[in-house]
Amino acid sequence: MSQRPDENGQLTSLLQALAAPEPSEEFLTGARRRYLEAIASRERRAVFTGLAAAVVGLVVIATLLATTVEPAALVAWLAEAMADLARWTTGVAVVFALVPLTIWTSAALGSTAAVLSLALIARARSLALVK
Amino acid sequence: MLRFQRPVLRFCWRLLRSTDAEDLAQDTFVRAFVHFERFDPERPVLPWLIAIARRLCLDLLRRRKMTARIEAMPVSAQLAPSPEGEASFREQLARLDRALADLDEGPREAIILFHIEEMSYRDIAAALEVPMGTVMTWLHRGRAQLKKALEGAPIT
Repeated sequence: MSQRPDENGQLTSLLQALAAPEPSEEFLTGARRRYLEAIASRERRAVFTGLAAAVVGLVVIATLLATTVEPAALVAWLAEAMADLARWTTGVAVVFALVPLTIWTSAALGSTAAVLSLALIARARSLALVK
Repeated sequence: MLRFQRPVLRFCWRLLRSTDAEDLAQDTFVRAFVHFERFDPERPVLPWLIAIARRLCLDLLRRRKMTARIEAMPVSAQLAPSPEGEASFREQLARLDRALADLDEGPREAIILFHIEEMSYRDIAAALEVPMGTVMTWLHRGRAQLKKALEGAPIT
């Protein structure tokens, strides 16, 4: 601060004359490669963190269920739900198998025609109201 | 990046005095890009990069418990005077180089950023994460020590 500006200028010239290495040819390429590696590694870390969080969450839920609900009751409830699902699926499959395809087709076409006619009637009525 | 690779590398090299400097300079840019969301666009880029580079260099120095080594580097040709004065010029530079390496961390960094990289007090304060008054004190102290080291060797 108390030095004269010309002395500082001389010091600057000398300091700038001190040699320092120049960036190598591979500087940019290397930096780009390492950047891509860092990004890939960050994404991998995010995936692993997500998976770990999911596993922890599942373990917590399982622990809570095991402590609040009787395991045997839970298994029985699950079995009952699976049996209900199987019964309904079988029923629907039987109905589909019993009724021939032509009947399904005519029912579908009839329903479509009915819906379209209702739509047309509604449109015609709205136009008549506007007039 | 092209614009800043040289000052960042020079800064790393002045702190480390080893071939790790280029590695850390690359690492500086990688960190800057990876954490670009932390950059304040209202502020200049170089102090931010220097702050990252400085942290990386200091981490490495602490990890390896190494101190800056003096490595012989050729004198910049563009400032070398006439052949007869060259020996004394080289001696002057060698003294200065040693004195710079011997400075304490703060004054050395301030001297490098002010005199070599020609950064402003404000930018140096941002890069070194200290108040501007501290930068001025470090510069004053650093200059005094460098001048003392140069005493006896005529300033060309």
